[in-house]
Amino acid sequence: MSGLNTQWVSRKAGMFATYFSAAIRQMSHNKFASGINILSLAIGLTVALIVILFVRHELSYDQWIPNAENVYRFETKINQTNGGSIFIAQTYPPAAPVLKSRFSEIEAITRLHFNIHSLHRADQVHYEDMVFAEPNFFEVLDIPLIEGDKATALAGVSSVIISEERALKYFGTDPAMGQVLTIETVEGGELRDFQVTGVFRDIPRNSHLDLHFILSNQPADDGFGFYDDGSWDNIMAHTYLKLAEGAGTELMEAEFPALMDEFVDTSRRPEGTKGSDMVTGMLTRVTDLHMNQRNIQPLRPVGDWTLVYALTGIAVLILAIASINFTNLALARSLSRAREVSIRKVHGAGRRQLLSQYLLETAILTMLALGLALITVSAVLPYLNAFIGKDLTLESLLTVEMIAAVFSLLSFVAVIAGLYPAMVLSSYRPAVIFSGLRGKRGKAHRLRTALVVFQFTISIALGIGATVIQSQRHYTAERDLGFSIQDKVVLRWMNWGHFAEKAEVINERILAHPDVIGTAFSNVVPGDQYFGNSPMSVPGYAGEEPVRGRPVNIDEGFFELYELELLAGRALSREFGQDNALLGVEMDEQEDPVRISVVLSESAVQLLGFESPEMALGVTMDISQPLLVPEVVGVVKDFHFTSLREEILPTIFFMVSSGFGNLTVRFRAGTDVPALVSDITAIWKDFIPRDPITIDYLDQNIADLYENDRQQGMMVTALAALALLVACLGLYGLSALAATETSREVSIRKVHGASIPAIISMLLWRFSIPVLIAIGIAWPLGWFGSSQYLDQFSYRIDLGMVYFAGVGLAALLIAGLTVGGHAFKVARSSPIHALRVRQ
Amino acid sequence: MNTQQIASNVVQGADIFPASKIDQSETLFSLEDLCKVYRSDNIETTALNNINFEVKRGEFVAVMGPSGCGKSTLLNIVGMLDRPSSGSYWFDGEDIANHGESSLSAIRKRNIGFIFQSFNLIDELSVRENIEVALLYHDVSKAERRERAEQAMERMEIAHRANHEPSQLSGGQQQRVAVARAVIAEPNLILADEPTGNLDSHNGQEVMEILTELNQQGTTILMVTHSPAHAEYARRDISLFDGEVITENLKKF
Repeated sequence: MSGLNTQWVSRKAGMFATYFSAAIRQMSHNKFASGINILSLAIGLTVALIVILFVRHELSYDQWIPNAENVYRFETKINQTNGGSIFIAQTYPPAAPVLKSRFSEIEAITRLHFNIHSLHRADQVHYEDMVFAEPNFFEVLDIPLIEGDKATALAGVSSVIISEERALKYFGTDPAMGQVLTIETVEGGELRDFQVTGVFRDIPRNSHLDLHFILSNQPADDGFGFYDDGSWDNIMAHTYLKLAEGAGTELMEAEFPALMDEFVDTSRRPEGTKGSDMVTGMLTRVTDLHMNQRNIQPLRPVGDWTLVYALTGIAVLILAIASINFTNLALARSLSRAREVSIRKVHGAGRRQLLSQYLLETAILTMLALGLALITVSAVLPYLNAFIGKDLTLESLLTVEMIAAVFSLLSFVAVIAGLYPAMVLSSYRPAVIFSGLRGKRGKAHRLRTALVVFQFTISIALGIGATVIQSQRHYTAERDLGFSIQDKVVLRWMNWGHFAEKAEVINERILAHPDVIGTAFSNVVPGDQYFGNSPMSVPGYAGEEPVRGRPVNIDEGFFELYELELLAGRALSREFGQDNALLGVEMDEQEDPVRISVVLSESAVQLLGFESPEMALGVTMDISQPLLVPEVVGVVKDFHFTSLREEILPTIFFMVSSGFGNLTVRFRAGTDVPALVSDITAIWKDFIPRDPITIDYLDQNIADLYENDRQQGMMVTALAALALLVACLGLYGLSALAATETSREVSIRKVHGASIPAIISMLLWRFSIPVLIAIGIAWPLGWFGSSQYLDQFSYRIDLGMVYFAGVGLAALLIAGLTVGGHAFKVARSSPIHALRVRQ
Repeated sequence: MNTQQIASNVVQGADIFPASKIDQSETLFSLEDLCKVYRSDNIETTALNNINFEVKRGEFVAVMGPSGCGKSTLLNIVGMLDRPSSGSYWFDGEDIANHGESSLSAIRKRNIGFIFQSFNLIDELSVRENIEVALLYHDVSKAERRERAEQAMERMEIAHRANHEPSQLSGGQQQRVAVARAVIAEPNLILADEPTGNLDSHNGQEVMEILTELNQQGTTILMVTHSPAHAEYARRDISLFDGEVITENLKKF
């Protein structure tokens, strides 16, 4: 019995070896078709692999945290008075102990506070992101320590644990443990020493956390860490908790409103306001944080399901286009292989054996393509990572699931691409083939055309999408934002502790610089994220809800500096006492209302119901602040402070001469900017020698708003180009193979007097038909996708015919160039041979 | 279908195959010291060696000889699909060597019709469209093309197959389509390359009858054939062997 088995095995192995060598020979005989197949599959697989890596990376966030499935963050939903709501990642500091005492499911709960501080070490000073943590940090977020003891590392009030990378940065190869880092408080510039009690492994890129310094929380209310005095009025602590194995969150979340009613401070809200009217708590599993876009100001850029789905879809389509090349080229060659099939059949090959032989050929080609794709991916990844700011690695494919996924992908491609032609080939009947009768080729031909139509439909639709995205980007970049962007730098954090005292004198020195035209203080500059919101109303205003305006705090000179156009009245100025009536006033101690001047934006004036900007002048407003009586002294034209995705917000300008975080410096056009920046830095050093300056380029600040759009635009453009490339590779192959088929027809026509141009135009037209059909299908698809995309922009391009016609024409042209060479060759060839030999 | 019928049809169709006034003494084409040498890699093959003969208007000439004797090469050169390596080819008083590709194409489409052993119909086109191909590149209106194709099909008794594709036709029917295509442009010369080679004897004979009729109406025919029986239809036969003319017989009917 076993002997029989061995025989069977060796016979099968022998057969496999025969198939294998036959397949290799077949491929080397048809280098052209094999080359096109391998190349297009390799492109398709490269895209697929990169997308797999990307999607896996996006969905793998924080999976590495031990016990991640039981670790949650307690987040807050704030109900705004205008009916909207915003989500933030923090909560009230005293919530943690209350939650722990109320819910037995919670095994541990810990609080964090993130902030930027300057760090001093020997002669180095750097701003670093710091996180203040409680001693039980590791009970919830059990990140691996290389050195130190988790139980005690954060026990004192002056401990710091640092990442491997920062240990190397500050201590080199010296041991970090026990070393001292000096960190500066925000208020007052006090320096405090922290001793290194642990070093943790660098946090992977696929984490919502971005930790390098974990410090013991400071118990006092001195701007260091979070401060818990038991009052529920300041949302400032990131709160993470670990639930018992198997505990659910629904029951807990159901009790949160009652908890808010019980604790939240509503004293500054109208009588009868309940805590749950203002805020709600919610639990989000740490592994879900990355793909959850609702929180404003995430610690790291969050993921985007739309992008994940879009990229997956596009990758599948490109792979489909590549597989179609395979099918099409195999079908196009099937007639010439019919003889081979027939000879094999005559000599006893069964259909199943032929099928497996052809599928094996497909499998070998696919494996070669995979090899090529892997090489390409590893070459491309470093650039891609730099571009998208991720950390994708091929090694992450080396898990059982990923290998299984890649191989099922391959088998899918091999079967999809190879099965149909293999079935067609193996179905040929020798008698029919040898008799030289030509069967009806209509069906295979129609299938081929349909598949080419599909390929070009996808390519053209993607091309339209890419063009629209790029045009919108161009439009965004070129659009008049209503203020001037050029020739400005912004000094940041001017209102920090001891910086604030020096702000005026630094400003004076900068103004004296010969290249500087002007400066202006403000609490926010264009491009900044800003969530302020002020209710506005005027006597006679008829709306039910007050107008929501964005309050912007500026110093004099701001309008002039940014060239905001005054439509009526005047700009705010220190010359008018009322304009900066709040100077030095402590609102907490103020009892009588203060009259202040404000400037409104055009849209605010319209929304408040004024027929013209002039009519708003002199009007007294109500901004729901009993102690402030604003009077409108000017109106400026609307402008885009934030992304063009957003509507222009009505804006109300105040001049409160304190708390200006930003100093915008405008310089002469053509100034040597690096030299100017170094001059400004020198001025800063004169007054604030200890701390580094932070300076931004305004144009970059605005460009950052569109960084995501830029990346997405480039990605879609690259993918569309690849799709078209693969489709054209297929068309190129088809036109080459069809050349043998058409050469007889061309010869007949030439014999009857057809000229070379006539033949070429006939062949070009023949190959244009599928592209034209594809254009017809791709237009509505592209229109639908593009309008969906543009819908997110409040200010957008019109979806004109030019995009559709342009992309269609380009596709036609590229297809024409692709097949043109073969058409020319066929048209020029002598008709003699083709007319004698009957394929 | 009987031969008599076709022949009488052909006679009735005098308007499309007009019996032109043929001066049998006038030379249609002549070959002088014509040679054709093929070179591939290091091997030189002489396909035609010093061929000399002329064909007068209205003649029916059969070219005989075994496989590889150069018959097809001869036909290709006469059909202006190929050029001689040396020697000259005069067609209608003009030296072909002086003409470029497009000029040759123009001469060919005005003067020469082709019939092939393997029919060489275009699979994707209907019978009607296949026949029209021969007028497609002439300055002929669509309506006229239609009309003339219609008449040609009537004469060849294939009108009922006008909208069929070649693959739906028998070999004999396919060759009749090919003949219709060859004559529709009213050529002076028909070059027939083993026109009966793929047909059974009955259909073969029918095609030969048609060619004879055409010749009687004035069309010059040069036919390559293997079949001595079919060569009998010709007035003169030329035997080739290894690229040289070995016999030339003029038959009397």
